[in-house]
Amino acid sequence: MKRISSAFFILLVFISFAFSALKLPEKPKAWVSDYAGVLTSEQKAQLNALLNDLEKRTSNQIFIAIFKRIPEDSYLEDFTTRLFEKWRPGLPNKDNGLLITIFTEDHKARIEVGYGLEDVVTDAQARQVLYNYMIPYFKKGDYFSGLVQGLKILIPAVEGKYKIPIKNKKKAKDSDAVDYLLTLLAFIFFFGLFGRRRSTGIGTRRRGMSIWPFFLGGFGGFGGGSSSGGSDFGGFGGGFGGGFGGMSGGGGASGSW
Amino acid sequence: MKKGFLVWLLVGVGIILLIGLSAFVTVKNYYNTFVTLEENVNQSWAQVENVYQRRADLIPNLVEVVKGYAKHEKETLQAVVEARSKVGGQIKVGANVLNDPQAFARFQQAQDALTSALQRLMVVVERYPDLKANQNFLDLQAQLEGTENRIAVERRRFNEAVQAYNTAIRKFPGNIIASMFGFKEKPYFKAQAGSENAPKVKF
Repeated sequence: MKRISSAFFILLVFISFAFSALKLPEKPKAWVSDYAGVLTSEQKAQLNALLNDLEKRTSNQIFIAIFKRIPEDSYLEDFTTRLFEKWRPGLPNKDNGLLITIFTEDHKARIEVGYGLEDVVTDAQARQVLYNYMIPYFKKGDYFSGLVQGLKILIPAVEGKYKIPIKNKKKAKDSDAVDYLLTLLAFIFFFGLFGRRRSTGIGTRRRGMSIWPFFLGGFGGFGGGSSSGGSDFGGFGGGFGGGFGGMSGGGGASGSW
Repeated sequence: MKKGFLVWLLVGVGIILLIGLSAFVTVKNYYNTFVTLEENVNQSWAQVENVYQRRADLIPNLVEVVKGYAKHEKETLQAVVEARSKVGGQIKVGANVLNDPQAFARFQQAQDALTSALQRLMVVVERYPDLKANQNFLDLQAQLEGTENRIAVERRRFNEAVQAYNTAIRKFPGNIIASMFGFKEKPYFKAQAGSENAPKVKF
């Protein structure tokens, strides 16, 4: 009996794992991430040097991620797009990043193209690069040569569009003080209006009723809400526009061998 | 006597000012959050429209190329053309459709019908090796595949944006402020029947 219940418990844990959000690796420090262990460290260094050079010269960012298998609860395109969303290759408003994923045991690969590069690496071109330059090598297990050959086509393609050498830019801080002052001014204006309307005496009772709830909420909001405009709503608003990298919209191509 | 009254009056006015200020700041923060979230929904919706438009634009070329090789597949091709024409007039419907659940359902239905028709076509073309060897067709196929994938991505992001918005306007005390300013719940895309794993087209 006990055994059955513990088995059941394990099953439950498994199920809850299967339904939990997709687990994605953290954004790496280097351009090439080999979670399958198919590249030697010299090969990785060589690819990283190539992609570092590209980024320094032009700001285009190409990330490569090699895995063994696609997680059970996802599929090639979905996994790659979500990984792109997490790693954010490219510059925030240029979206000039590419992500190449390879799944060695699933025999699948994908080139995911950032929004900003969709016109220089079209779906059809991405597919041709995959099938004509990369997959022939992947078939033989030579992932390094496949990547090198693919990059030989992809790098000149993305270079043509964005050539922004990387400089360290300081971001302008939006001043909280000004925001606060404006809020206060607006409040005075609002209060003035409110007071005047109230003096006309129409529907005073009703307004009193409907206003009472914000007084209740008001005390709570005073401490937490004012600094970031209600960021306790899950941070979606902040995360979406993104201040830290490029986005993709599912463009690119997938291949298998 | 008079002095005491004045002090109490000042204290009272001060308290009212404080309450008013905190109420104002709270309402302002909630209101601005709703606006931001709604704007996110509208932006994601524009993206959804763009990718559907992109697919609709691809279809005439695709049909033309397939026609040349697969002459026996008139019915399948016809189904695609018909589904395309139903969709044709109502892609860029604007964000107003989000306030009308029925119009939204019609939009989704028309688009999903086109997805199914295209899926059938793509199964049928497997029988034509000459077509599968045509570079023009392969490019179109890659574009269609990419577009279907874009649709899946933008639909997911739209649903996520709607979820964030709907949750925000339904939570207490935001719901009171939301109803005061007329923020209404927005509809989601539902997974297509028979394909719970998001609409993915496998060729």
